[in-house]
Amino acid sequence: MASLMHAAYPEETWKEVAKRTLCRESQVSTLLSIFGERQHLSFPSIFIYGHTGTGKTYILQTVLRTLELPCAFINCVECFTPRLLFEQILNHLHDHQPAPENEFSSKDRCDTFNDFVRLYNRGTSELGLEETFYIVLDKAELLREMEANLLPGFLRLQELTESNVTVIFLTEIVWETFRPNTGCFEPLTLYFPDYSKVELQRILSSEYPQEYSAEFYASYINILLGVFYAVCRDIKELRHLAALNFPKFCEPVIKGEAKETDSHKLWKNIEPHLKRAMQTVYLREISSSQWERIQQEDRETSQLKGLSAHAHVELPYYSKFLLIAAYLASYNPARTDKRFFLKHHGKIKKTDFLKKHEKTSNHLLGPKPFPLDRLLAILYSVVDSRVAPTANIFSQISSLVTLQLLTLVGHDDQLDGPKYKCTVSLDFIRAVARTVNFDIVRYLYDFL
Amino acid sequence: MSHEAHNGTKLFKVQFTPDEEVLEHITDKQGVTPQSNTAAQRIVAVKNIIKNDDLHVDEATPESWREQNYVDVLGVDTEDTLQNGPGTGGGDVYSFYTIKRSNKMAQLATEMARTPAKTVSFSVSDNPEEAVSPPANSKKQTANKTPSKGRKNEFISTTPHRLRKRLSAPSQPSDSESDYSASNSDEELEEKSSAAKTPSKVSQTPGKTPSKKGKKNTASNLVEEYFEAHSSSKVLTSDRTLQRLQTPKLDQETLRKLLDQTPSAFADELHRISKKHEALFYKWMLQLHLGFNIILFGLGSKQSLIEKFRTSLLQDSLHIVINGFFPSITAKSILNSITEEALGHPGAFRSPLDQMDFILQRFKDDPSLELYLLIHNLDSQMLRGEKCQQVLGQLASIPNLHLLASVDHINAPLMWDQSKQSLYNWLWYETTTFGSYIEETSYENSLLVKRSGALALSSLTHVLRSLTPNARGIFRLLAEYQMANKDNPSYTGLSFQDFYQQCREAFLVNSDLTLRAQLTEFRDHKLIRTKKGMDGVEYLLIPLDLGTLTDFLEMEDKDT
Repeated sequence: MASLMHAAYPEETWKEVAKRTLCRESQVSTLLSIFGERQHLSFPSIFIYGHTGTGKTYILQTVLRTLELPCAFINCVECFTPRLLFEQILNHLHDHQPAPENEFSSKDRCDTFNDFVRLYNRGTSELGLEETFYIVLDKAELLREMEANLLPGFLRLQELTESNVTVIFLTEIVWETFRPNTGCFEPLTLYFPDYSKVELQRILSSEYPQEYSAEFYASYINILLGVFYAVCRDIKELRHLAALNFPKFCEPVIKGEAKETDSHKLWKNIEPHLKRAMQTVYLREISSSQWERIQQEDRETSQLKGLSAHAHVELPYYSKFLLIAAYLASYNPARTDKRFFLKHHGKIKKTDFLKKHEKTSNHLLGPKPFPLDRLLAILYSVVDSRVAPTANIFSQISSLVTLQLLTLVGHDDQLDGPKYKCTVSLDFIRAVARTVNFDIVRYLYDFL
Repeated sequence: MSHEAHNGTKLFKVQFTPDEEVLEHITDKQGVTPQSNTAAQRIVAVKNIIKNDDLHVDEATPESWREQNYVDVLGVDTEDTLQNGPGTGGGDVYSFYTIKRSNKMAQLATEMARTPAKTVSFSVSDNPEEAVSPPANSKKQTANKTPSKGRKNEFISTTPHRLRKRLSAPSQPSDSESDYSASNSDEELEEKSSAAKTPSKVSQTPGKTPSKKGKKNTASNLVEEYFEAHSSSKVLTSDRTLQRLQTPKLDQETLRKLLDQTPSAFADELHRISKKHEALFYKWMLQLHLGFNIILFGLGSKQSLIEKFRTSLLQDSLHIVINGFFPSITAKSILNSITEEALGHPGAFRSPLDQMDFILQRFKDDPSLELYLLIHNLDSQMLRGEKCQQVLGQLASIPNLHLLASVDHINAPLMWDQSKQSLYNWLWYETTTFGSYIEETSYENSLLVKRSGALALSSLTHVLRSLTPNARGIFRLLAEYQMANKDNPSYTGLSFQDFYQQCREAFLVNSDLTLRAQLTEFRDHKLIRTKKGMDGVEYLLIPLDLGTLTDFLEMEDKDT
C-alpha cells in the first residue's frame, strides 16, 4: 500500500485505512492526495457519484474518522429545510450536541445562507481553525429541490467564507442533472465504479465467522454469488443474504453428513434453498425473521404465503360491481360498449371493429380514463337488479377513490363530469368477479 | 311477469306468475308458512306505500310524528325517520336479507322470478279479492295507455307492469327520493318500456348473456339509450350561434325585473308544500340536538326554507349563515367568521389546521357554547373541494356545533366518501320547493346576460380550467407580476414586450404570435385588459382586486 503513504500521517493510520477500505485503493489515494495536508487548501467542492452500494459513504466516513479530520457529516434527507441543514453544520463545527441541558436547541439560530456564512466565519475565528474543514453532504440530490441559491452557495463556500473549507457531495446521480440554469462553480467530479465479482467475493469473504475456516466461508460466498450475481450487485443486499442463509449451509457439517471440504455435497444442499430465497426474501415477500424461523423449524419454505398473496379485499356488494364496471370501462374501448352491454346489438365480430392501432392489447397500454356516466351505465347493465342511484352508491364511488382502487383523473371538478381510472389488476378483479358470480373475461374486449 | 322456463329442450314458455306466488317464494325461504290471506294483506300494504309515494309521502307523516313521541320513535328506529314514512312495514318479509340494501325487494323479486323450479301456469286466481284489487290500484297507469295496448288482454298486459312497478317503487321510499318529479318520470319510463316491449318480444330474446336474464325492465332502457347515444363518436357542431339571434344582451337588473313580472302558476300549491316543510322544523331541531346534521335536497331553491328555519327557531341562539353560492367564499372565510365573529377571537392563525384546532378546543372546553351553521348550497363551486369538505366535516362532527345545509347538484353525494360521511352524520330530507333559484343563480355566468363588474374567483377558475396548461402558465405569470407590484400605486401593467420575454424564458410560447393569440383569448373571456400607455406601448392588466388575485394564486398553488 505504498500508494497510500503520505508524509503527514503516521504509518499505523495508513495501515488502518488500507485494512478497512478493501478494493478501493485508487479512490482512497485520490481522495487523500486531494485532501493534502491539514492546513493545505483543498478543492472547494468535490462531487462523488457511483451506484448504490459502492461504498461512497463508508469510504469517506472511514477516511475522515481514521485521519481524525474535522468534518460535518450531513444527510440531506434529514435536513428537509435549509435551516436544519445550516444548524447541523454549525453544530458539527462547534462540536455541539442538542441535549436535554440545552433543551435540544442548536448552537445558533440560522435561517438564511447569509447568516450561515456569517456564523460559520465567526465560528472558525473563535475556534482558531486553521486546518481544512470538511462538509460532507450525503444524498446531495435533494439539494436541488431546496432553494435555488443553496447548491451554488455550497459550491462556492470556500470563496464566500474565505476560509479553508471543502464541501463534498455524495450522490448516485451524475453531475449534469445538478447544474443550475445560470451556471455555477464546477466541482471536481469523482466516480466510484461498481465492484466486480472478484472484488465482491473478496469483500464478502473477509468477514467470515470465527467457528469456520476462511476457505469454507469463501466457498459459501462463491455459491451465493453464483446464484445471485445475475440479479443483484448491491453489496449490502448480498451481505444480508449471506448472513441469512449461512446457517442452512453449515447444517450438513453440524449434522456430520458432510465435511467442510465436501463442496459438491454442500452445494447440492444449498442451491435450491438459495433459489427459493431469491423468490421470497430478496423480494421481501416474507420477512427475514420469518425466513430464519422457517430455517430453524425446518419447515418447507413454499408453504408460507407471502405479502403479495394477500391481495384479497372484502368489499360490499355494490362496491364490487362498481369496481367491475370501472374495470370494464377502463379496459374496453367505448365503441365496443354496445356490443357488450346491449342485448340487441346484432352480430358484430371483433374483426369488424378492430382498428389498426388496437392490435396491441389494452391491458398492455394500461387503464384509460372514463366519465362517471359511462361507469353508471355499465353498472346498471351488469347488475342483475334495479340499482337506484342513491347517495350511498355515489359515496361508494368516492370511497373506492379514497381506497385507491380507483383514481380521479384531471382534478378539474369533483362534481361536474368527473373522470376516473381503475387501478386494480386483472387477477384482483377476477377474484372480485368470482365472488359475485360474474364472468368478467367474457366482457373484456382483449379476451374476445 | 313474463318468464322463461328451460325445459331441457330449446323451448320457451311464457308463463304468468301471480304476485302472491312471488311473495310466497320469499316467505318460503324465510321459513314462515304463508297464508294467502297474509300475503294478500302484505300486497295491499305495499300498494299503500306506492300510493303514498305517488302522492306526497311527507303529507301523511307530520301528523303521525305529532301523535308519536319523538324521542321514542327516534330511539327505536332512526332509519324510519329518514324515510319519512311507514315504508318498512314488511320487515318480516325481507328480514332474512341481512345486508340492508336499498333495493332488496327488487332483487328478491327478480331472483324469485328467475328460479325456474316453481313456475305456475297461468290461472286467474283462487283468490277473488286479490284478482280484483290490483287493477284498481293500477288504474292510474292503465287509464293513459295507448289504445293498441288496451286491445290486448288487459290482465296480461298490465301484470308485468304492475310487478315492475313494485320492483321500482319500494326502493324509492328507502332511497328517500320519492318526489313528484322522480316518480312521474319513472312512470313515464315504464310506460315507454312497456309500450316498446310486448311480452312476446321479451320471451323471444334467447339471452346472449345468460347471467342476466331476468333484469333490465326499467333501467335497461336508460342504459340502452345511453349506449345508443354514445355509440357514434361523431360530434356535430351546429352553426346556429347566439349571435345569429341578434337579440341584445340583457343586464342583470332587467332580467330580474322581467322575471319578477311573470306570475307563478300553482302559487297555492307551492305555498302548501312550503307549509308542509315548515312543519318539520321542530323535528329538525330535535335531530340536530341529537347529534345529526340535516341536509336538504330536492328541486327548487331551499334558501327561503332555511331562512324561515332561522327566523322561526334560531333567533335566540348563536348561528352563522353561509352563502355557498357566493362566488368568492372559501373554507378560510368560513373559519374566520367562526373564530372572529362567533368566538370573538381577534388574532390571526398561521394555517387552517391551527384554526381548526383552536375551534375544536374552544368547543370542547365550553360545552354550553352552541353554534348553528346554516349553509346554503354546500355543493357550490367553491365549497366542493376535498379540503373544504374535510374542514366542514370536522366542524360538523363537533357535538355542540349543528349544521344544516342544502345541496342542489345532481352528483352532490360524490363529495363524500365513507369517512367524510361519518364525520357529517347526515339525515337526508327531501324538501322539494319548486322555488326559483333567484339568489343562487345571480352570480352565474350566462351567455344571454351581460356581465357587470369584476370577475369573481369562481368564474375565473372556471374559465382557466378550460384552458391549456401553457395558457394557465401565461396567465399565472401575469398574475404573479401584478402581485409583485401591488404596492406600487403607479403600476400601469406589464408591457407586451416584457411579458413576451418572460413567457419565452418560461418556455410557454415560442413566438409573439402565439402569445398574441393567447392574449386575445384572455381578452374574450375578460380575464385581462389592455391599455395604451403614454409612450404608445400596450400594457396588460388583470382587472381583479388584490384579494381575489391572492386567493387565485393560492388555489393554483394547491392544485399544482
